[in-house]
Amino acid sequence: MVKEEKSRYIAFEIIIEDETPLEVISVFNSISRSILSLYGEVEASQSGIWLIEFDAETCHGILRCTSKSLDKVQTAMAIVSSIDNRPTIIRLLKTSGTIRSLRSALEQPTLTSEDLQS
Amino acid sequence: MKGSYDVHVHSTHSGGTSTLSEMIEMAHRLGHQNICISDFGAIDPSQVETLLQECKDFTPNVYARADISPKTPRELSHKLNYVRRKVDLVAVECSSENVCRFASTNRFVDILTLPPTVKAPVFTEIVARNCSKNEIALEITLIPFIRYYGKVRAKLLRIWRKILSVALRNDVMFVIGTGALSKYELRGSREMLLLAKLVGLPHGLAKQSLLENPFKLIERRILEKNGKIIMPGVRTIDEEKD
Repeated sequence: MVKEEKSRYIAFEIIIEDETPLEVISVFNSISRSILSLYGEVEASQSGIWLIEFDAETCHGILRCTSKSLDKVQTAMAIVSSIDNRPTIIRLLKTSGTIRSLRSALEQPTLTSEDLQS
Repeated sequence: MKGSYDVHVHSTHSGGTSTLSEMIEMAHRLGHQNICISDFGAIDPSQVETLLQECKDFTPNVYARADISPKTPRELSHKLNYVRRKVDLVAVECSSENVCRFASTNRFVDILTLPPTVKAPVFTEIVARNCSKNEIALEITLIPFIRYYGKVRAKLLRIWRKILSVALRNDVMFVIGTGALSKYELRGSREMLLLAKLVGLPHGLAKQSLLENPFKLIERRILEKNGKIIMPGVRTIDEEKD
């Protein structure tokens, strides 16, 4: 029996120039385009990314990917510089193996240097 | 002074598109505790104090950094005379091997930066050895990796892997800076770590470059400004404090 690959969930925040709400599809497209451009088609196919949820008002979202490609997906997200031709920063908040723990991270989105050191 | 650093940020004073307060605000939002503003190579050194006073009340600590882009070693030493002891960090952009070699032996230089169009031979074994001996850091500027894509980014990554292999062989100190010209080009500390790893820096060194190395460089320069360092290797110690 083939074992199912483990998933990881990434909570993120999008900081964008004007306040016009973002469309979910634009966010997903820019992240997948970034993975494709940085790591190529093979890695993009293995990353298994899926945008679980995205709140256009708060610009917070959760992205799913395979645990093996977690670092690559995060790097590709960090490199995204625009969505819909609007200057953008994707700020990574937290990664986890379950969605539940991420929801609490979204309630307290401030990342401190202690988080970085741990 | 503890916490993460972005050692390379520009504002409108040095060709950026966001104002100083916008940059500082965004750096704070992204979780940085310290940023180094690179405006001080572009403005009159006498204005440094005024500009630093403006930033005094902001939450991320703001440090003054001067960027010098000389064409010859002579021009470099001339420009260093203007900025040394007035700023917290002095960075030299190495456009040629001569400049790179001279900068790596000068005790008033803290950081070497390499322009995006750099060719690997500029950062040679000799330069790397000098940097390691004189505790001069090599900056990994992240913005070209964010801004460019496709063939250009592939070429940049290839060149930087070569540079890093020389630097790692010689135990060169690293610092990481975004080189942001607008507030949307800034990145948080977690993202900066990931991008440094993309370039080829090992995780432990990347963390050190973000948290500890800038602190070391700035502390050294502040001690020197306060007259605590008499000459390289000789430092006055306040018995009660130190």
